[in-house]
Amino acid sequence: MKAGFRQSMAWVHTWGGLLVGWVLFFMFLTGTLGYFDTEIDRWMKPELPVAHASLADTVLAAQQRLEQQAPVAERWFISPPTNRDAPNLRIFWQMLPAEEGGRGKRGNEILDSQTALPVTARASGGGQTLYQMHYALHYLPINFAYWLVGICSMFMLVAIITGIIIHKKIFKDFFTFRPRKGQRSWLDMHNVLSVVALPFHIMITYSGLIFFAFTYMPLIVASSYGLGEDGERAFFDELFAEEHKLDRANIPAPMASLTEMVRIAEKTWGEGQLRYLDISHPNDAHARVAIGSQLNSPLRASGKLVFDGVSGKLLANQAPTTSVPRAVRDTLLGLHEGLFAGPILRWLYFFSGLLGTAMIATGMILWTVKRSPQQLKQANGPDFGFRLVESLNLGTIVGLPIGIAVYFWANRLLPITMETRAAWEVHTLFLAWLAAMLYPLMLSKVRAKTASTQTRLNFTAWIHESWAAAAAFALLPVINALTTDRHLLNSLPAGDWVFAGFDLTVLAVGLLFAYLALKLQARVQKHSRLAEFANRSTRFAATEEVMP
Amino acid sequence: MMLLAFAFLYSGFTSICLAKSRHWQQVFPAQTLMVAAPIRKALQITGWLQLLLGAACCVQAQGFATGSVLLWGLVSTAALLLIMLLPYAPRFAAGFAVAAPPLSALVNVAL
Repeated sequence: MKAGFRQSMAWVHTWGGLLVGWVLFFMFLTGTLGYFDTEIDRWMKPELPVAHASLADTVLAAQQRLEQQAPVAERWFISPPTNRDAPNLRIFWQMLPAEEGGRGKRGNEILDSQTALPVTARASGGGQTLYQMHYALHYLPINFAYWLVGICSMFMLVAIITGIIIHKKIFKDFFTFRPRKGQRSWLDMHNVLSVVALPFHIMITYSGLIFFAFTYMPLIVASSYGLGEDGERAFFDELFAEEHKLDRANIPAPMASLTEMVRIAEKTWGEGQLRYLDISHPNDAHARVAIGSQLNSPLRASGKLVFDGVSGKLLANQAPTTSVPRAVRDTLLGLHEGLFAGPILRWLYFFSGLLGTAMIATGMILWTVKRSPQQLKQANGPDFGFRLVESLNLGTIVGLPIGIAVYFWANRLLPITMETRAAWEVHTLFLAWLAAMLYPLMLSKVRAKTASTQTRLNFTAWIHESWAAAAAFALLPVINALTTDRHLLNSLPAGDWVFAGFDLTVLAVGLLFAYLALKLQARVQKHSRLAEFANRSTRFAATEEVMP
Repeated sequence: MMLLAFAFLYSGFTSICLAKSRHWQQVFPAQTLMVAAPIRKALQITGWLQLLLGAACCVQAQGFATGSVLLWGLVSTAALLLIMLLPYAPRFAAGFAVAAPPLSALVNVAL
């Protein structure tokens, strides 16, 4: 019975994992890049100046611009450049709704904090687009994408749990990796990658599901608030209720000094600890200003100081969290996003994400490695299904990184004035990825179908694509040097770590792919030497038999 | 402090690892015998103590909330480094475990 249970868990792990593996690989890789979303944003918009005005001037500049853009608004939001996530001053506004019950027009801008004018940069999806793809995918209706991502994440959670069940020697083999042993090595590697970062894998998958809990389980809200949009709205209004917020008075009133409120906030929390200003009903008698603090721990909620926007009086000093369930949710979401992480912890997050990505990749490869001896023995060559999985594996494991590199290339090479520039950056990513998936299928379609050529072709496709990825990544610093002046020769001496870090990282990734290509080439050479030797000895044996 | 945490974690994993005969032989191939029981016990205890020290350093460096997240990140990195070194450079893997904590303590004092 016990063996039967393990076997059925193994079945679920294998086939469930295979079914959604490619989507999960995409989610893990783009999500991992999300830990450096802002840094990628900055690399992709090299024109953006580095902000260095004082906080008071910054807030004044923001207010000045908001007065111009949206004097009669429902809400203003100011993000001064006080943390990694906000490298430039950003303002957001929402106008009054045109009709009762509707939603007002929204707008946002990145400002120069000295001139209070919007800064212009090339149109680019930046790191945000890459990051958003990991939960919203692309080209798909948003709700469909959320559900697809949810189903895949659920499969991931199932794969993790079944994986723990079927890994019999999880403690005994904790330190075991046996290289150069074919399938054994792949399994060892898959186990090692899964086990050493198991807490991360569980946390990231589970908290990922929590993000969309209200989408995936609407009936729980509906049971108390009623079905439909009205119930949903009532629930969210209550959940995100702000105690001190009032309805609009519709009596114009001048705002109290924001800089004075900022001063009080900095006195309360310390310098640089202010994350945002959220102003409701600006220039109205019922104006309220909420100032939020930085996120310094996994709890993804800011402490808040609430001011009367007209008198400037401090009304409340709110703790980041008010209820335990809410704190649990905020902590899970905070752990997932890692906004609180400083440079070292951020790299560890990034690295853990890569481990998850590699765990999925090794699992997918293991599926083919396990089946290839039997598949290659077949007279007509491997089944279509097997070849499809092999192609999708290569096309995704090496192909998606190629696509991402091409996305960065497009950012530098597409004409700055191009109308649909940002959209085309993303199109190039998916076109390159598609090409990388079709390439191995084409290669095996064009050429012979026997088993041994099949293996060789598969290796050839891996080698070609690895070289392509190596070139695509390693040349990015060169492209950057040809198109901007923030290249390594400038960024390193200037200590411009966002640019230097990006260039050095892609260079390292390029070298890794080149190493992979060289390794694979060496292996093919060894194999063909062995095959030749085997060939010769069979021929030799055959002649011997004929001899009397 | 984080460097020291990493050193303790790496060293702790190595001790626990060496308490297993398979890995003991990897590092000391000349001694074909199993690792002796008292040594094994000592290695296990030292290992777990070092892991605890590593955890303490993380909390010391970043507080409990952020420190515990940091701890898991360093645990993954330290364990993976050891596992990848073992088959290719077993002696170095073990030597590094001995040298890492005092070296990083020195760095910690120097900085």
